[in-house]
Amino acid sequence: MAMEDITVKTNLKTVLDPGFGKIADPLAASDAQGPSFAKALSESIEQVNTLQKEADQAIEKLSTGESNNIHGAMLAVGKADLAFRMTMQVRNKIVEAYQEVMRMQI
Amino acid sequence: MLIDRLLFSDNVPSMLKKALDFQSQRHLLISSNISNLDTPGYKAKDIDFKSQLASAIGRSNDLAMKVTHPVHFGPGASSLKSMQPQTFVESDEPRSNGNNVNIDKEMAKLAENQIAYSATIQLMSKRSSTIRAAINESTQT
Repeated sequence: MAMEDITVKTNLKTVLDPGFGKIADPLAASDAQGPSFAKALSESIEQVNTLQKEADQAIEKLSTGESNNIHGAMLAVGKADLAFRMTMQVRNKIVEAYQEVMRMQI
Repeated sequence: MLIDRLLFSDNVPSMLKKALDFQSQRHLLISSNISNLDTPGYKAKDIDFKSQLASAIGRSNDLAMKVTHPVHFGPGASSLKSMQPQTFVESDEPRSNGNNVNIDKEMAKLAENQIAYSATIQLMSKRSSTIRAAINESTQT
């Protein structure tokens, strides 16, 4: 591999290629092995966002007296918090792996 | 303020803050109702936060103003911030000395208000712990 080839893209390719589809179009539709890693990641981030919106709606309903479901609001907020923390740790691992590859001597 | 816009841009944090304001105010009001249990001519007072909030954010069932653009006046963040507790006098039938404080009712309201207050505090701290996690734990060694 020539020196100028070592870019973000080529490095990510080495991380993602063994089984996770192509980096060239990360959001493209799934290939034979199921949804691409990038797609799965963006979908789970979307789910976290939805959970947080649901938690906010539960708080709003509780405050306006539309529902008296205190534990429901608590659970929704706890769920959103947990989902967010989990996604963030996954992201941390990905960044860590990327940095590991970037530090690699070739 | 920039920090305000970054962290507290949506309605929920200011709604929770207002809820705490109203609930602590309501606690004082209920306590004064209880201490005036035997005062001749005293009328019990109360605050209805839920309906006031519902009309401030445009969720009430009666004909409310709708906001079609975020910078327009009307129900929204600004009306939420300027919301003040409105006390009303209980319409219970007064006793012979003109006092209409119902001690059982006041005790029940006190207990309910306490639960609502601690629930609001817990929701607030749970919600802010998510934001705190986003700030603190994003880079781990």
